[in-house]
Amino acid sequence: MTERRLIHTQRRHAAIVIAFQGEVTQFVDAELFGELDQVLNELSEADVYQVVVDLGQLDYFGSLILEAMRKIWTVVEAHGGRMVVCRVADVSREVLHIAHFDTLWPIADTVDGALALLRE
Amino acid sequence: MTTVLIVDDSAVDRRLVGGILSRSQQRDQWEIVYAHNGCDALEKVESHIPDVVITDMQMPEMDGLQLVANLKKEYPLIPVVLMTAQGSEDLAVEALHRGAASYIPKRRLKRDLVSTLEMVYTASLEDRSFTRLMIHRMTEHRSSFVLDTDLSLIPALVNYLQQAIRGMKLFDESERLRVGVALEEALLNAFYHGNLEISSKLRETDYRLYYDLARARCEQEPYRNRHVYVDAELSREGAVFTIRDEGPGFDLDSLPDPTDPANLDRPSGRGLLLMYTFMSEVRYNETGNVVTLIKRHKPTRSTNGDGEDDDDGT
Repeated sequence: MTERRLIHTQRRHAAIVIAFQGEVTQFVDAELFGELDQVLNELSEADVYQVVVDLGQLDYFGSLILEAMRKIWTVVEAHGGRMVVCRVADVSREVLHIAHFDTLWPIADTVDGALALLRE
Repeated sequence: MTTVLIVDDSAVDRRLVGGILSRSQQRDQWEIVYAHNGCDALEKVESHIPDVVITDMQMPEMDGLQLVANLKKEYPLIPVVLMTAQGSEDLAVEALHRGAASYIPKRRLKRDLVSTLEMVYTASLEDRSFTRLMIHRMTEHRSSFVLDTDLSLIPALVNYLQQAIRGMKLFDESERLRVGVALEEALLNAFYHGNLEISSKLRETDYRLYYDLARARCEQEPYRNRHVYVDAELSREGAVFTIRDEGPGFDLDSLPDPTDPANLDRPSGRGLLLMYTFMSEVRYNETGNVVTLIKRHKPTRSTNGDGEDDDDGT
C-alpha cells in the first residue's frame, strides 16, 4: 500500500485500488493533483490499468474529485483499461449522476465487488 | 429518575454495574435497564430512550465502538460512557473520537461510576437545552464574512454554515451536504475565476499552470487585495447565501454545457451544474460577480406529541 495524505493506493492482484481519503476537500486542489500525478506514475510503472476508485472515505464531493476521476479515467482508457467506482455515499452518487459520470463507470458497493466487476 | 442503560455481554459485569448504582447514595435517582450486546442495546433504546448509556467495549455482534458510532448517528444527544479493560486504552481513545462522552476503567468502576454518570448526564442536559433553544427558538441566523485570498479559510466557513444549518435543523443530512457542495463550488468560483481571474480553460490545458498562476496572483496586485464577501441568512423559510467577489465578473452563457456528452471530458461548468442542481434557486447579477444561492425549506420533520419537533436526537 502506498500512503499519501490524500490518496492511498493498494495493489490487489491485477488491479490497483485508488482511495481518496477523508482529508480531501475542495480546497486542497493543488496538493491533490500533485498526489494524483504520483498515482498516475504508479499506474504507468506497474503497467496496471485495471482500477478501482474507492470513495468510501468521503461524505460528499464536488467538481474537484470529479476532475480527479476524469484524469484517472483518461489514462486508464488510453491504455485499454477498465475502471470501477465503489463505496459511494448517497449525495456523492447524485454528484456522479448529475455530471453524467455514472454512465462512464460501473458503481459497486464494496471494493471486493468492484474487483469482481473488473474480472468479468 | 435518570434511566441508565447498561450494556455488557457478561451477566456478572452487568449486575456489578447495576449493583454499584443500586447501592449508591443516589440509588433512588437511577432507573436501570440492561442489554447484553450492541444490537440488543439499540432495540432497548428504540423502545425507551435512556438518559445515559454505559457500555462494555468488547461484545459479540456489535461491540462498544460500533454502538457508540450508531448511537451518535441516530441519537446524538444520548451520552455514552465506556467501560474499558486493562490494555484497551487505544480503543477508548478511538471511541472518544467517535463521540463517546467518557470512559471508566473497569477496575475503577466502584470509585468513579456514579460521579462519571452524573457528570456526563448534567452535561447532556445542558446540550439538550442548547439544542432545544437552537431548534425551536432560533428563528433567524444572519452572518457575514469577508475573506481575503487565504483559501484555507473557506472550508472553515462552509463547515460553520453547515453546522448552523444542522443546529437549526433546517434540512435533513442529505440536503445539508448538498448545500455544502453548492457553497464550496460557489466559493471556489469566486476565489479562482472571480478574484484571481483564472479561466477554467487553463485547467483544461494544464492544471499545473492553473495552480501556479493562482499562487502567483495571490501575491500580485490587484488580485491579492481582493476579497470575497459572504452573507448568510438562515430562517425557517430556508437558507439564502450571497457571495460577492471583486473580479470583473463573467458571462454565464459562455460556459459549455457539461452534461453534453461532447463535453464530459472538459472540467468547465461542472461546479455551476452542481450549484444549480442542489439549490432551489441560483441567481447571478448582470456582471456575474455576485451569486445568490437559495435553498428553500421543505417541512418534513415529525413531532413528538408535545407540539415540538424531536430534539432528543431521535
